[in-house]
Amino acid sequence: MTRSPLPDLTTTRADDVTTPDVQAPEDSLGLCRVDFAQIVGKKFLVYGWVLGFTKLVDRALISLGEIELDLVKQAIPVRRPDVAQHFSLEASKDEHGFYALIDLPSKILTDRLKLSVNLFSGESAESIWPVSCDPRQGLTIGPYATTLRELLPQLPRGEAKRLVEFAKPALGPQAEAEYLAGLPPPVRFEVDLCCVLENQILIVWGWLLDPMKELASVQFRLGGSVFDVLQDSAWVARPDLNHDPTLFRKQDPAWIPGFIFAQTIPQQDLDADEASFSVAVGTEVTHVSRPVIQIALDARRELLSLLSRVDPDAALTLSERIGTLLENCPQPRSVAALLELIRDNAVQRLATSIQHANPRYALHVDQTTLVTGKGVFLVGWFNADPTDLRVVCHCGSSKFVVSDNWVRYSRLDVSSHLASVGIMVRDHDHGYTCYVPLSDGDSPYYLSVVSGSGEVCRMRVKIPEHQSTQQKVRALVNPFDSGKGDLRTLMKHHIGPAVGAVWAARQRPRQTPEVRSYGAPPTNPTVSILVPLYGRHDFAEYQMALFADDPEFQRAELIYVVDDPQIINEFYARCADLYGIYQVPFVVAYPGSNLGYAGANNCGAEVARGRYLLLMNSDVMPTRKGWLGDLVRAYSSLPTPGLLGVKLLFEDGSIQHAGMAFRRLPAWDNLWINHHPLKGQSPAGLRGVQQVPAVTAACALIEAELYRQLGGFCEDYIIGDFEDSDLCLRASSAGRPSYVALDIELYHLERQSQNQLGDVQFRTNVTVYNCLLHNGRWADLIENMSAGKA
Amino acid sequence: MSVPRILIVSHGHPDFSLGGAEIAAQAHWAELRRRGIEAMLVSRVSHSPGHAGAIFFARSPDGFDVLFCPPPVNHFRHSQPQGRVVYEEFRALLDRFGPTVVHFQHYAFVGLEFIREARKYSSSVPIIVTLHEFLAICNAKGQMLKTNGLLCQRAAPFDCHMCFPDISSQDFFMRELFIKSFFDLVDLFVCPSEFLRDRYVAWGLPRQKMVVLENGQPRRHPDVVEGTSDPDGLETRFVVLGQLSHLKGTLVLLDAVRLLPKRLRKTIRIEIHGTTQYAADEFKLQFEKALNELQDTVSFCGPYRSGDVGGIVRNSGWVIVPSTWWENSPLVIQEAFAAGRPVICSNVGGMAEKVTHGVNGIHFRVNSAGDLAARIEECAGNPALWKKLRSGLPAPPTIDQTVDQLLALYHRRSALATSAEQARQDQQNPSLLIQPIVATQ
Repeated sequence: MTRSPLPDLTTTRADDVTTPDVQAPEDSLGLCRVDFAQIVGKKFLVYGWVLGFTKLVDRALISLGEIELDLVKQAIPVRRPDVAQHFSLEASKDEHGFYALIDLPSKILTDRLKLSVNLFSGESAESIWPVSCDPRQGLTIGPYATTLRELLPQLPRGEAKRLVEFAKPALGPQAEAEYLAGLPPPVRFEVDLCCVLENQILIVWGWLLDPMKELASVQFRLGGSVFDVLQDSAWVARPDLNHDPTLFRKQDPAWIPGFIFAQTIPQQDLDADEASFSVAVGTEVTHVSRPVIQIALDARRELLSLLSRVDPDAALTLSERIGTLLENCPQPRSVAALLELIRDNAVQRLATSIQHANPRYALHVDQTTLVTGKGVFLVGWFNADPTDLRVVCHCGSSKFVVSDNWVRYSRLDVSSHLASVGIMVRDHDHGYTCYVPLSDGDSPYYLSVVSGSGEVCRMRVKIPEHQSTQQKVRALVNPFDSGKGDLRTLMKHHIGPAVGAVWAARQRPRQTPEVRSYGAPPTNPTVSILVPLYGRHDFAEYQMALFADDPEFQRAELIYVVDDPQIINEFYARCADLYGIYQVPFVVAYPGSNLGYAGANNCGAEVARGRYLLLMNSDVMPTRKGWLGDLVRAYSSLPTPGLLGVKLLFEDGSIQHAGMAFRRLPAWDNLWINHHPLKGQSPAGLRGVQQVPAVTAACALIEAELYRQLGGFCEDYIIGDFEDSDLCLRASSAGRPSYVALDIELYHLERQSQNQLGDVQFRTNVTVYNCLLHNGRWADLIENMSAGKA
Repeated sequence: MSVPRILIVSHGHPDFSLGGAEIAAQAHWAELRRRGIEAMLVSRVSHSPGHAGAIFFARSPDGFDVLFCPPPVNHFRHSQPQGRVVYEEFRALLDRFGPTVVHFQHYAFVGLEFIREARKYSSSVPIIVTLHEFLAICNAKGQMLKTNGLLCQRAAPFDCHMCFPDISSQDFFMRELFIKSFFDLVDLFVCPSEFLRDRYVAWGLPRQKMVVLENGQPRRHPDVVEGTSDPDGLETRFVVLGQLSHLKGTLVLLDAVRLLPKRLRKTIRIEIHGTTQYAADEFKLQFEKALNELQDTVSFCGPYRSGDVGGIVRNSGWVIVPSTWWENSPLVIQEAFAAGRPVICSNVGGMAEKVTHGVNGIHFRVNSAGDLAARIEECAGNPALWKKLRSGLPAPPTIDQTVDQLLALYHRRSALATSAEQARQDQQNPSLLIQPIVATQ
């Protein structure tokens, strides 16, 4: 007998013997081998291997007489680690083996087969192998029994069953019991945990593998109810599973074997302590029982323990499902508390950005601003290949679909970054801005990206350490580009609510201001002069040097409202000297914090006792004595005045203000803005008292009673702007129009606020915000006033 | 006027700092004292003997020569930050001494608030302020010389901001309003030159409050020998006196010397007296360098006492005042005239006013070394010209004359003040002001 050049692998086993009278052909090129082949009746059983059967082989045909069998189509690839080892190949790289149990179209009697192999590379080989075919003997696979037994786990269940049926006599009676009783791999089903939470929610957490898509259904019974796992579960990846990738024939791109089943269960089933699962593969049904933890405490403990071991995405899928489950019913406290615990634990373990490979997408949050108690404002970027992804923000049990609401904007830097890693983009609008109106106590925020297939990937939203109101306003207002995009939408849905909420929530303790008096306060003052001080307090000294020789100031109530904790001590230290030198009685009101222009004036008004209030800026200086009396006389000569302003001059004598008007600004979407007509021109020839749409409150007289009735200045404008026109329009609406007394002149040494608010972009944005707010309230009235004029 | 009691406030004392204003204040006071008038001189000094917070301390035992050391002022607006020093300490001094006239020789380093305090002390006592330079108008050391070197014709907030870009126009304007609020309380401004008076009137001070009065020459010390005959050849000798600096034009003079023909340089002599202690380092370097170079012609004689001025001036034929800024009424010009010497000076400001070209001196184009060189050449060795100019010299006022005039002014002001007081009281009558509002409810 010619010693076969091929590795005679079967002889390594003691109980395997090659068919003695079949010669191994010489020209088989070492590429393939048929270990055994047998025909019994109309069934043909063949087992062998071809090197690179699944990767390199283009065609493999077996010819049995006239019958040609296509191995690639009809055989099942099986692992042959022995072959791999012999050829020093990595075991997992290929499945070189093949197995087939084929129903032949007709009976055939032959003792040999021809195996033709064509590789993709073009090489081909033919070889002849013996076939055992004895109608008398029936199945003679006795020597190969072990091989076949070991083969069974690799076969799909249907095939395994066929083999067992076919080989029953050879495999022995216990074969059926052994292999059909349990569920043969590769379909695998496991339950990690089955419990009832808080006596009302049934949770089954497990996983199953069904690469051949053979599963028909997976159901289970608990007590009297039946539940369907396949239909009603959420699916999650299970990176914790130590799986063997060679179990898979096909590479499944999204291998999501884990299932989470959550359902409220009817009362009567609460007693059942065992769930019985029925797994149907084809027509086979396998039953598995698993215990159910009913005791709430144990259930909770087990679940939390499990969740701490699994990845946070899975944990959150569970909490979201439970959340959805209880959406329309009131959540019992215990459940709510448990969900909170689950969420907090899981969210903490989430990353703070998402880079997903398949499909490719990335989500980043560049800036978060917390609007305490109301929501969170997000700015970041998002870029994805698929176009059907949704971005959702969660807080507590609530969610908000960010991708339905956000405003996108251009991010050239992101385009560059993506290009540098080889990703070409369709456009540059990767940036997004979104106000998420969700808040739930201390619950953390997280974002999830949901794909069309239902896969979810999550990230944590980092909330910054405590930010001051100013920092928040800056963070909210800065990102938007007033030059681009839909200003009104951005304002209405995003910046507006966020800034409004932050600003409204700012620390404004309604405490009574600290009031100190210098010199003898006038009894029954006619006029109270309110002068807010911020940043510089030397303005007070300059004003006082000019008030000192005006006898009217001995009788007016001069109130300096120090709206700046940083200067109060320095100012207090100066006050005694100011009175000592100038002998003008005055009052200092200190609210204790920075209230802003509107707040400071409202604070001063609370302290004021005069019948009239003169609103006056600290950088307004008189040109002569006696102007205050003139102003009061002018006011009382008018029928129903609201505010009475004056002519204000710059230091070079040109007009700074002679009444305010409104005009539209095309650059800002045609919003109404305030402007001072004649600003910068010569003041000559302007005389008398004229009615005007509005006046600046840099120097304006108003009846104290009216001021209080109107509610003082509106404190919703951020930092300061538009408050004066807002007050004037409110007064006009109440039948008290504005006037300007052009015969009364003072200097208003207005200058660019020198970087007190920071950069130009921020200041512009603040102004746009205030302008939008102002327009929201007054556009109609201004429109009417303008139309009336024309 | 009842027994006159005159309070003079000065920003420095000549024993410690040698400026024209300090010298004038002391001369003025000394003459009043010589006449037996109760006059108190309060001079500011930069250090204190540290009498536990008392800002005034005695210079003479009779209490009429007083020094004080107030806290440093805000030099931008000449404001005294420590109010207590003004309305308590100074006020106490006013109340005790009870002056019938308060005369501020200066307010710099002292504080404008002192003026207001004098007015608060009495609404009728005349307050007089002598103006020595343009400190109230100009933040550049009161010289109205722009920071880029050009002479400034007029002040305006924007112009001042251009000289000092870090200070806004608005801050300059507030400075002006602030200073004027104190000047409004002053009854009379004494200006040593018409030029200065005109500048202040242009700035906004009312003309009727302005008076031009030269600082009178202080009495000569007995050790100075008067009336000696002049030696020959004086017309080739020139002298420059004063605090030497860029502003005083010292370098212009030295550059002019460089331009002189060599043979001339050998025949003339130029003496420089004074100190460079207040000048910039860069000036000192250039000064040293020039002295080295021109040592055949120019000699630097160091500092001098005010009493020696006459002798120094008489040692030369000509006095050169080459200042590059306007100057007000340089003392050195008076001293030159008093010693019988004509003056060669720049053709601007107070110098051009006091020295008439071709009559008692010669003008050269300000800042022009070339023009000065030409003039020097013209004057040197020209005895005829020298004689002619000498005959045109005016007699500068003596301290006697000055004080006479001042006393007359005080007297007149007091009389006016009484009627002004009446006017002020009328102004404060409430019935003329805010009409009582008729209740409308």
